[in-house]
Amino acid sequence: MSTPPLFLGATMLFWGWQAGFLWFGVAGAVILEGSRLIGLRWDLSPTDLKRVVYLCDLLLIGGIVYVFLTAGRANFVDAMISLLRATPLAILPLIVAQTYSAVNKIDINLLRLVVSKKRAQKKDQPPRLVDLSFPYFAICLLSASAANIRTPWFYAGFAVLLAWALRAHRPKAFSPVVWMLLIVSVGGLGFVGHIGLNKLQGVVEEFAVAAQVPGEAPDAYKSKTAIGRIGSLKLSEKILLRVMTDKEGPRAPFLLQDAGYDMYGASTWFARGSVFKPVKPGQNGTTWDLHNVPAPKKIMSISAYLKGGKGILALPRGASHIENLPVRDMKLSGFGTVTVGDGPALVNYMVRFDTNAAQLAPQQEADLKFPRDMSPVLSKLVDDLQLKTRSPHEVIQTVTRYFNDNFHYSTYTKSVEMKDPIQDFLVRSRSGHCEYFATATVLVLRAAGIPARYATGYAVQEYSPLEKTYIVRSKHAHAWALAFVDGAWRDVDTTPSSWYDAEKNDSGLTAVTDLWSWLVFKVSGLIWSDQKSMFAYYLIWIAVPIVIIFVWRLYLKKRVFLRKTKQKPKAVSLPQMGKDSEFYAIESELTRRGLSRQTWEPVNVWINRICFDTATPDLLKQIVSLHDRYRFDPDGLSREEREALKEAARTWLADTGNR
Amino acid sequence: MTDEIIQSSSETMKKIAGNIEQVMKGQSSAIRKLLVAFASGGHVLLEDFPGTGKTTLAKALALSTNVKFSRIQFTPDLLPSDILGVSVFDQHNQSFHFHKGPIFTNILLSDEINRASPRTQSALLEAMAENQVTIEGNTYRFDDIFFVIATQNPVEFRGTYPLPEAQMDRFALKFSLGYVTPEEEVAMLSSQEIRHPIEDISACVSVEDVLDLRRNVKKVRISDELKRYIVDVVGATRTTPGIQLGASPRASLALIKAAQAVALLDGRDFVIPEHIQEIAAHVIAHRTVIDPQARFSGVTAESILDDIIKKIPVPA
Repeated sequence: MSTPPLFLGATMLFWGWQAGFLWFGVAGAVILEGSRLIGLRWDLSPTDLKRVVYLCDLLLIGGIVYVFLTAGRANFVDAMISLLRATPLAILPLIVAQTYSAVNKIDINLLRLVVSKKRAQKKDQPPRLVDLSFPYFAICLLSASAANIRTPWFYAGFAVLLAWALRAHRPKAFSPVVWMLLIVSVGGLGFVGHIGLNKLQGVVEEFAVAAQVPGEAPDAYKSKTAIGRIGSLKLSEKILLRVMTDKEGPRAPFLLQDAGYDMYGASTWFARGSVFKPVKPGQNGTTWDLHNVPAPKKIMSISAYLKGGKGILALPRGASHIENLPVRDMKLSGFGTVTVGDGPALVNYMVRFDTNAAQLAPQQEADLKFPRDMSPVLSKLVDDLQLKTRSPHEVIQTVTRYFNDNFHYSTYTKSVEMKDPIQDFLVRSRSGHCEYFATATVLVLRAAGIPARYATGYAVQEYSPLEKTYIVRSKHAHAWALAFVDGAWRDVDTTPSSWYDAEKNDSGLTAVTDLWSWLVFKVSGLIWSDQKSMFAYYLIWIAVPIVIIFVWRLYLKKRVFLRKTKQKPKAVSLPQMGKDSEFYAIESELTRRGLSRQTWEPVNVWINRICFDTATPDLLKQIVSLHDRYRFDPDGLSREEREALKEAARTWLADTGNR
Repeated sequence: MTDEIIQSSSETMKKIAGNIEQVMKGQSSAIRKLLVAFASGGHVLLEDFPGTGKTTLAKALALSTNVKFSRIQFTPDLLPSDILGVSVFDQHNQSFHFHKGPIFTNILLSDEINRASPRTQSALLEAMAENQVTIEGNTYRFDDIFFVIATQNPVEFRGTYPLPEAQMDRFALKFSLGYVTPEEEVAMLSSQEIRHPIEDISACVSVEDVLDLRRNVKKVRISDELKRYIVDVVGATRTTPGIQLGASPRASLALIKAAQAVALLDGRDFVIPEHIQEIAAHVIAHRTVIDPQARFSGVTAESILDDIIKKIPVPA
């Protein structure tokens, strides 16, 4: 290895410590530094090295695929950073191969992932041997920094390793003390600088926050509908939820609510009269009691993706207990909206619910309000349907029937002729999608004196024979009304049932995307479930045979034993006469003065180059002439000449020292 | 080796060099290389453009040393017998007589060697390696001094037969003369106004002196450390990327001899690393085969050797 002893080992340890792979770091350090003790080397052919490269590629690509499957798009960047933390582990096989190969270098042509046909045909391409130790060192440092553990130790370790790496290449013209001082001062400046930069960022951020215009409120407060938008509503086939019910559970279609709203205006529903309150988890941290009531018996299991670990839960009516939900943070609004944060990318929670005990905030004044300019239309409708004279139950029935009989479902809005799209819907077009129906129903109920709210969520309607669960697609997103009847909030879904058929799609492509979605879900489930140990267990069962095969193949390979202990004396045995020449003192003195000799430069060439900068060139040339004879003439110097060399060197050094 | 012997050998070489320099203005480094090859007993390949003085150089060397000189102009129809000699039937004696060809000389100038057919080229190159020829069962030894200066033109390709790599190896040194500076060229014009200066050249050393010189070159000492350095430099050509075929051990042998000659020329009886570095590229470069791709990207054997020398730490 071209790196200083113990250097790569220390790098591995540093990386392991910072990135949280301490034991891997220790193992890597032992393997890499062990090469200095073990004389065993493999004569690896390009094919073998190619295999090692493929292994590394496999590990890297596998890591990326794993991250892509598990992380989802929102926290993909975070996941890539955590992948970067593990990158040295993926490249370790290549470095180990280099360290234990006879050549000690890697042909970087092999690192090419894609080899064009022309290149592949030219087999006798000359190898471009490169020592990957220092690039690996750089990758380790990058990885360690990706861990982003903000302690001063990171900086200290970083600086020490860099100084270590640079030490071998420090300019010989300066004394080590000067060099050390420089390194320390540069390191110190860097430390102060990065802290200063951090502070500056804080100040700028504060300033920016102060100047910021209030942004959009989160979804739970506002739902912008597509009401009044002309054209066709585009709905995606993407599977969002998977719902499992027991035998006594509801049969499809049934509704899962994710948010409730109480105020309508300008095609948007707002949740004004609700306050979010934090919910405290049970003792195990994954059980949540929403309303402090005894747990109901009915249970439903829902799997959902949480983008970036946060989102709004889809819950059945009357949900009061949530189990097996490993999130840090949960908030509940009076409208039954549950937001969670700091959770995994995939959650698989159980909901206990009692449809009849809908524990929502009681009615408020806002639940009876409707836009004033719509009151003529609404009053006429209330009169036509004679709603004022009926009981609330009858009102709901009448309204539902009215919408079912006289309106039809369509995701296509041709045009809006009246000023208000809902009025247009009620009076003229009589056709629209669920948001029209829900909004109109809420407003009609309110006009009839029944407190009503607008709810969004999903209509569970599709059973997947493949997955043996209900699946909820993006296009199953639904909106309906909530009515406060007999002291409880009830779902009032007035959208004609024909919409279930309208949303059916028999495209063959859907089957393929569904299969893919299912596979992704299964893999994600393996990763995010509590059965992590099982996953590791399987992994070991896969890994063990691979390792055994690998070791066995390596054992069969041609091995070369480096006989270092025997080689060294051989190198020394090459006669190097006159190594005690006094000229070397002169050389180090000249080097100290910045007149260093290149390693390839013969002494005479060097002296001729620099003698104009020295005080006594003639004396110097005389010394060099004697030195040459002392070093390279097999007959050597006579005793007098040897003395003369000593004397001349002493004189020169004394002369130069005085200056 | 006493100082006098070194002095006299060094003198011999310097005398020849001075003599040649009267004719070849501004070519002292080429003359130095020529003398190194001449003293070490190796042959020389001059590669240069027409009219740069290749022939003059060879002639001047021959005239300075009072030895026999002959010149063969290589052409595609030249036959081996045109060089080596031929047996002719003598009607008086009713027997064959061997007529020696131009190769039986001391200094042979093979002009434009790459124009002859490979068959003729190899006849010459065999003779160069063996220092003898065998014709019709009789072996004829050459004189003690047999020195070939071959020339070739680097720009012409049509009607030429480039020397095979194996035969390039027979030449101890390959170098070129190059163009001289304008001032030197003016001086050359002036010196040739009345008559060519080569006509004024007279021999300044005897055959005996040359043989002494050649014997003394072999006595120049070289330490094992420097032998190792030579082997390292030559060995590096076998592993350096861009070289398809590295130099052979014959290159190491030639480099040692050349370095010894350089040392003697400098008046030393032992070799120092400078001597090796000075001559290494001229001894090794022509023996290597450069990868076509590398050559296409502008790399030459000389530049690669320069890199090699700058990579290997020199003993100091």
